Amino acid sequence: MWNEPRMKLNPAYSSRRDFLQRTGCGFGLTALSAMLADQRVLAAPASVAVSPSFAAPLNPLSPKMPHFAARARSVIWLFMNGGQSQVDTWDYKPGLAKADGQELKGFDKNTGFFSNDVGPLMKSPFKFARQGQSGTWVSEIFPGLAQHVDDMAFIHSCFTATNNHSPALFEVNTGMSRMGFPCVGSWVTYGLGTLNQNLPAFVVMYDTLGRGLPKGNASNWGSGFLPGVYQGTALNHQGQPINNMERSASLSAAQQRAQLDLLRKLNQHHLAHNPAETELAARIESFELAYRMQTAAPEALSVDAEPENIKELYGLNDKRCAHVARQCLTARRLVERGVRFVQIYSGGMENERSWDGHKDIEGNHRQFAGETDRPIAALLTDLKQRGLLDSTLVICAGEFGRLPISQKGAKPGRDHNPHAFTAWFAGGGTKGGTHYGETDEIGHKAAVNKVSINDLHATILHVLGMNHEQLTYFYNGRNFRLTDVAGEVVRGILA
Amino acid sequence: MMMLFDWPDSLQGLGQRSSTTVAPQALALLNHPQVQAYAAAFAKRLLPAAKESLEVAVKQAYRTALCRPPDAVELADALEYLRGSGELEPALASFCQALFALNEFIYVE
Repeated sequence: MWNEPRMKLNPAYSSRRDFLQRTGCGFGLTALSAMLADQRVLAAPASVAVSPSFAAPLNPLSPKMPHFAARARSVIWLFMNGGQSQVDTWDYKPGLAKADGQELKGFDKNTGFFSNDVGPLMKSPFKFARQGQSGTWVSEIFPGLAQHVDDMAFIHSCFTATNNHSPALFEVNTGMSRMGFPCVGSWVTYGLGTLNQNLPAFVVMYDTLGRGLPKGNASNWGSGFLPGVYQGTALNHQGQPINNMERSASLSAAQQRAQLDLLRKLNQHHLAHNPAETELAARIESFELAYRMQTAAPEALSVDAEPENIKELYGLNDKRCAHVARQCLTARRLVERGVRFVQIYSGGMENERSWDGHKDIEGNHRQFAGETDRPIAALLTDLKQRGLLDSTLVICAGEFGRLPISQKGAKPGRDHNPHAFTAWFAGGGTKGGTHYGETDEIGHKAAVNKVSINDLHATILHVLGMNHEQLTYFYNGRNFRLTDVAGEVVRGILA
Repeated sequence: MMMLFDWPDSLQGLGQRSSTTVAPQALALLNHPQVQAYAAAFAKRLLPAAKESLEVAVKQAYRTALCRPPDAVELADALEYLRGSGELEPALASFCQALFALNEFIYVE
């Protein structure tokens, strides 16, 4: 989508005074060109001619050039919170069925979380069948997604460094298993800015049925040491979806407009006496933007305005999945309007509230597949029919996989498994119907073409036109990367 | 609220704070109940003066918020706004809120 010559990403946060000293009195024009650039980018991404090094200090979210031609401009990450079981979903293992009931020799009982509940190898309770031209083996719990396998690229050999929810969530989101580092969405908006200044650049949706936030809470969409503007905006599941977005009831639209006009007049008057102060001009502009956001955000989030056939497609009328349906439909409306990064968490905190099937893996996975299968399948259908799947990278992954052995209980479950899980991608120039990497015979550990979280992150940045080794931020005396000092792009899933 | 204005993540040390100017900050100044409560309280302080003379109230507001009297243009703009905004106390509150959002109020010179 972008084919401009490569430009160096701008570190952006030189001080105002530094910047003024260097640019001198040409500032008014620079400000104007940057503001105009924001508008132009929306209309025609290919025609941007303004150097990001000028636009950035004014608005850190101005669209910036990628390093090279991007395959996708937006990302929707469907986060299967709690840890989806690979052997019950996308990693078909006839070898596990054969070994059903046998002890797993040499198993380290501290692999999972409940070292005293270690059971024997357990085959999947679900039937698998081949689907699509690619002949992909799909579990019966995904009848909707089974129709899309030829658009999905699977990586079966993912693994994490840790076996517990919070650190694994941090690792999958930030590349580090400790908390406090910038997440992928923050790095992406830092690198690319956003295409619609009237909406948040990075939006997060979590469980709306009151089952809690993913473990580690907002640290999962935090911006760490990157500037705060790059943190994810989590939609509140009750009340106003976005804080401060609604005008107070005591003020009419006309009254607020009059108030802003007064503010603008007084600020302009002040600016006339301080003409070189760029932040003043940016601050004036930010109020106009805020005023527009009050209309733009509710409009973007109003899924009820969608036609009935679209609501039906996503499953808005289906009690079992209506909550995820709303979120998937919201995600489509957001990327359609230029939002850069959207993340949706399926499931709440842990145990029976998420994919964390310690007890009754069958019941647990049937339930959460039931909540997500139709909405996600609809999202793929809908993005495709609108021509958005080419420019949107859809990612589906959780924080780890689950063990091929059972966790003992009245109804057997499966414990955490950091050694293997499947992630799938769709759209954004990925190669549908491909399968990259393999686990061992029983699906216990990634065995062939192992893919680390750094590799996954490098691949996501690559699809967005960024070199993961060049996307850096200077902090604590050195340049930091999302991928630390590792990461290889998984070219096998790219078209 | 603090996070909006670049309050850093408390999990990491930070040598230098970033300083951003973005719309969510403006939204907070426009719509956050706390800001509205402060504006209403400020308006209550100005109300006795405003009942006598709007001009005196505007001057008092500028002295309190910005430590200086308004110049002629500012005074005229403010008076025009207050006279055109209906009921006195809500109009004053809305005017006070606009003062909080002034660049001069936000930035340290």
